[in-house]
Amino acid sequence: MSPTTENTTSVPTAILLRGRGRRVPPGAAGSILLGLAGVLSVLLLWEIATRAGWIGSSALPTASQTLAAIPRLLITPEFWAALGQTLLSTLVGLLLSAAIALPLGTLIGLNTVLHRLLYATIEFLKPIPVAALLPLALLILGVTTQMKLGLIVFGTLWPLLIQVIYGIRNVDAVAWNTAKSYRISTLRRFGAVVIPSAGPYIATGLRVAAVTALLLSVVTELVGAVPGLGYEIRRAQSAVQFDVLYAYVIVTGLVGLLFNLLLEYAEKRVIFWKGAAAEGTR
Amino acid sequence: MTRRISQFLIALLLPLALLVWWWFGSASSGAFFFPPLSKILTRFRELFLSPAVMDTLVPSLINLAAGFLLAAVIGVFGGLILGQHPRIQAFFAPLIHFFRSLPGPALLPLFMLLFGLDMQMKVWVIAFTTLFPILLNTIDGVRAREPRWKDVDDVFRISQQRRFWHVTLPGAMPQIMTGLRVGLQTALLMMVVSEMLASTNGVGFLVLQSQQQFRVPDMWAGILMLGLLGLVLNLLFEPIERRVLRWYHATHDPASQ
Repeated sequence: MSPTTENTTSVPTAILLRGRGRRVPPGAAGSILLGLAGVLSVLLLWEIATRAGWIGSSALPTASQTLAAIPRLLITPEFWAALGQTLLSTLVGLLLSAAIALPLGTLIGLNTVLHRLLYATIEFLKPIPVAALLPLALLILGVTTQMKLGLIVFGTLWPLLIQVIYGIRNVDAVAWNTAKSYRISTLRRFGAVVIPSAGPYIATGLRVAAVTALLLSVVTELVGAVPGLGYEIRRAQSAVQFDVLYAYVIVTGLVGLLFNLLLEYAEKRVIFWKGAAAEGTR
Repeated sequence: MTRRISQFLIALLLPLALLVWWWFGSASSGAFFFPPLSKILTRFRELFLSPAVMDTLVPSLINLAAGFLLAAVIGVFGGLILGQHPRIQAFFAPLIHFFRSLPGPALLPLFMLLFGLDMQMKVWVIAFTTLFPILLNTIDGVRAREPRWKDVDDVFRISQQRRFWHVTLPGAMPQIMTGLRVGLQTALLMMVVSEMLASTNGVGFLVLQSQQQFRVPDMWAGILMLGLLGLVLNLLFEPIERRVLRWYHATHDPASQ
């Protein structure tokens, strides 16, 4: 992985391949400029298409109208309240899910009998589309925060549990037994043996669960009319305020993007000793 | 062999126990929200194992299949191209990351405005949201190939075409399959939500409408159907994935060495 070995090989290949059009990746500044150009071209295309009437519909405001609606949106208290509700329920749902999955997953991962008994059932529960349970949750709990949290927990619990179990079972038995025979305390054994090898799996599981939690927050708000960003999108639609609708969708996307980048950054920092492990999922 | 069978039976123990408990626990249930399982299964038969299926499961499956396949084809092809051309990839990167982070259902009102409420809109919205996990995983798969392979290719002057078919594509395959698996879940979610918000048929519509009209057994039957659908899709995907990646597991699974 050291850069020196890269250099020694790249000289002869560069000579070998002169004139064959090697695709040189752009540098950091180049990437940013190209990306900026990409975003600007889409906005420009949008502006031209709506102004020239290619998409002849009042349902699509121009790009400039939409962008102008964003700052107007950002100064309304409704927006910040909705954002707060969405993010808060995402985090609380995630915490509840983790509070169940971490101890339970560790227990199942360590106990072979429990693993055989429960693992298939957990695998069965994972692919159930959680949105299908929304009407049931609405029926039983009504349009409440508990309903929203219940769905988030149900939707994030199984994948997270599977990651935790997988991570715990991935712990090297020899390392564990060695530590045990040296009479290293259970607590220290967890810190020195379990966390380093199970940590990456658990961290990936938590990141994916966080993204799912945000998604389910928005879904319940959209379909179940619980307060939050999803509800505001729906309201802008029925109020025929299309520029507000588009502004909300763009801001929701940006919030999601920021959330994703933060989580990926946090995962890399916390699990500094290993690249993203386990079932890679986005 | 007997050990595998006994493990399989142990794994089935809990689901079976739960079903039995549901059956007998609800048999004489008077609770409005939890009707007897026998009643739910009767409605299940009437809704999905009769001509009524043309209005419930069939439209859902068509939307799901069309949307997913469209996204898979565009996502894998686009990903292979973008993965091999860093400049084009850099051009699209912020847009791709924006759309993969945007919770898909938030786009539904927008698609409803632009395309109306017909079936095509649902196919488009499923395809659009499913595209990004597939695209992104394919790009990552192409780019993450081992740099040493490229040097080997360069030294032996292996042609671009052979390089693509024998190195790039197989090297990206595990990640492409991951993208497709995640995409399938996204597609299923979008199918359900799009039918709930903008439809007059499909299983998602059935579930939400039954709830609003307090036809509780119908709602349960629909939920059961969607759960089964998720399960079956997962069970179908796994052998395909294992088959496609057989060489990969053979070289990476320490147990086989």
